[in-house]
Amino acid sequence: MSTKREIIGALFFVCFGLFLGWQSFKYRIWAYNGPRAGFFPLGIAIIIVVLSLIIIVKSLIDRSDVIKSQARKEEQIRLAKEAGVLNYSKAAYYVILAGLFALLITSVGFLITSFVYLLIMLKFVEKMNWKMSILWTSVSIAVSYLLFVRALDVQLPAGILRMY
Amino acid sequence: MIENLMMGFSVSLTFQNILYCFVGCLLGQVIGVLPGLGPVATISMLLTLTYKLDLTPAIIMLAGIYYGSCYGGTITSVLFKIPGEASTVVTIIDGYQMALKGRAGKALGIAAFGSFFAGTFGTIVLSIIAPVLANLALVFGPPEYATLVVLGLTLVTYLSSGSVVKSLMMAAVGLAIGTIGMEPTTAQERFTFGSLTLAEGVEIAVLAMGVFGIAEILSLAESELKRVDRDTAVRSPRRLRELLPDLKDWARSAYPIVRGSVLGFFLGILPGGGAVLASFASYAIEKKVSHHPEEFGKGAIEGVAGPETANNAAVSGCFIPLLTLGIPTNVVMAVMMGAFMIHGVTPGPMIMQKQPLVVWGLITSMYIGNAILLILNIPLIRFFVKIMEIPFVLLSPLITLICLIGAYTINNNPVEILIMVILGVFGYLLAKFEYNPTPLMLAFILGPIFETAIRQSLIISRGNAMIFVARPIAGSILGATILVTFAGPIMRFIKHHLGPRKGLDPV
Repeated sequence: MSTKREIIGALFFVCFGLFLGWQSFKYRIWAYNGPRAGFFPLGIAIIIVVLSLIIIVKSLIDRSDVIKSQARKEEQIRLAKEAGVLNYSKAAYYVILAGLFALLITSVGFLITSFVYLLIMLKFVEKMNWKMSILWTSVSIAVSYLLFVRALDVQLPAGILRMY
Repeated sequence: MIENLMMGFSVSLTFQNILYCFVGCLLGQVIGVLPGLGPVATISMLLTLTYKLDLTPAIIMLAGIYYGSCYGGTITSVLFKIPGEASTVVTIIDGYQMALKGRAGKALGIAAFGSFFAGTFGTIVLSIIAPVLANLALVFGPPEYATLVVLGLTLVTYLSSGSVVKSLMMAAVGLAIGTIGMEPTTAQERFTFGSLTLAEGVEIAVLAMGVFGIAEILSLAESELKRVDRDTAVRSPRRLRELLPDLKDWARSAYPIVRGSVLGFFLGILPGGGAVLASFASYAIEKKVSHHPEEFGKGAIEGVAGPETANNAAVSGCFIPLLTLGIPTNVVMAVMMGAFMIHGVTPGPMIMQKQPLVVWGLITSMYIGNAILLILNIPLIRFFVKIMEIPFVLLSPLITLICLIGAYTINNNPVEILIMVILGVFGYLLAKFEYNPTPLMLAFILGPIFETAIRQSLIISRGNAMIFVARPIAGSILGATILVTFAGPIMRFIKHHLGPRKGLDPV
């Protein structure tokens, strides 16, 4: 992996560790008879920051020319292989639709939300045809309903539909 | 011992009890496959079914649900990289890689056979030395637990084929995530930021589904190349014989299965993360002793055989403190204890004398249950492998939906879904930056035990950290940890600087 990426990743964890340590001081660290709620998170925060700094230093030390040129070559091969077939937007759609599912399941209901979610995923994200999308969605939702609601008696929100 | 086993089999081999064992295994496995519903939720949901039964069939059925759901968790770990249960997290490392290479059947097959062997081993050992082992568990106090967790987290460095520092970083992050919620000793809220959901902490299932399952789905969603590779690899023509482990697989798995059985059984006795520790420890040991350590993480069958056997052996081990001392060592055993008490029986030192038929019936039913799982699952392997052959474009939205529903059902709370999605994005980014999330999961599970043990130890010693060294067992475990940590570098140093020099003429 490139040095820049290593350092960016490690810097994230430095920030995480510093935030964790700062928040830990809101809870008492030590009392007369032993550690308190902030003790353990503070210890972890220190470890995270130290490990992050080690990663940064190692990345900088390992910056030999041979390693750099090899990494560059591998990167070029990888990019050439995946040229035109990396689709970050698809991953983003998965995340956005899952978030919308979470926001709507209680108010709209399990059946409608799941049906719409799966249909959109298959038809518009995965680019299936309408027939396959509707068929697969219908079967999947029916099985999910029978399994979770009928067989396992799991309480799922009815939402707009209150028939069950 | 023979008489006790014969007595037990006379109870467990009745038609009624075999039927309940079968029903328990089947239900447990079906529900164990569903993400979000682990053995605790499964047993809790089905506990009411046992109210009308007598104690013996009730306990046999609940035990069947337990190890049935453990195997269900193995199936999702291998096929979908979603750990169904904490102790099957390790199976993901090599099991999923085997599935991506079209060897899912072999992974599931060896897991089933290994579990059967572990169940057999556990039954025999349980019947011989149950009371002795229970007393051993009593010797472990807070300092011993703290050092044992340190050893477990150190073994984590062997789980990653990448950077040791990054593995330790992931373990630290897992410990940090484990501090969210109520602090274990005083119930003070930490890092909740006013959220009632976070006040209960991050759920294990949510973390597992997010960091492994959702992250993997996002990774496959973004890369057409990875999806084509996956769909091609899993669609290899095969007969049932080719799906199952062959002689070479057996040869490589035999010793890991034996080692995993022994390790898992003894670690399962320990309260808390016995089964989890057993599976991680088994993986670390197998990687260490293997002639092909470079294959671990890329589909080494030993990486499935050992841990799967260990976690199943731990299931047998964890019944010992419950039956002999009345101490449940994990949440599942606590629910089992509840089942005993509902029927008016209190587990403890006298139960073996007062209710021998129940105890030995339960012990022998574990053997029968594992045999049932084996017979049930071998023919089903072809079906499970077929699931893998469903194109990713159809499978991934469905798996995502099941994860979303599973996350919701944990607490009937949509916020759990959001947490899972956020963790999924986090896991996806971890993969991008080449961080392995497996140590994170182990540390998250062991974190509360670790913190409680450290704080109790320091309270006992009035703040003197030497307690971790002064107590013999704790000191020994810490010594073993140091040895494990520095053995490799020391050996390399000795080899490099003090070994025979090349290029010098012998005199």
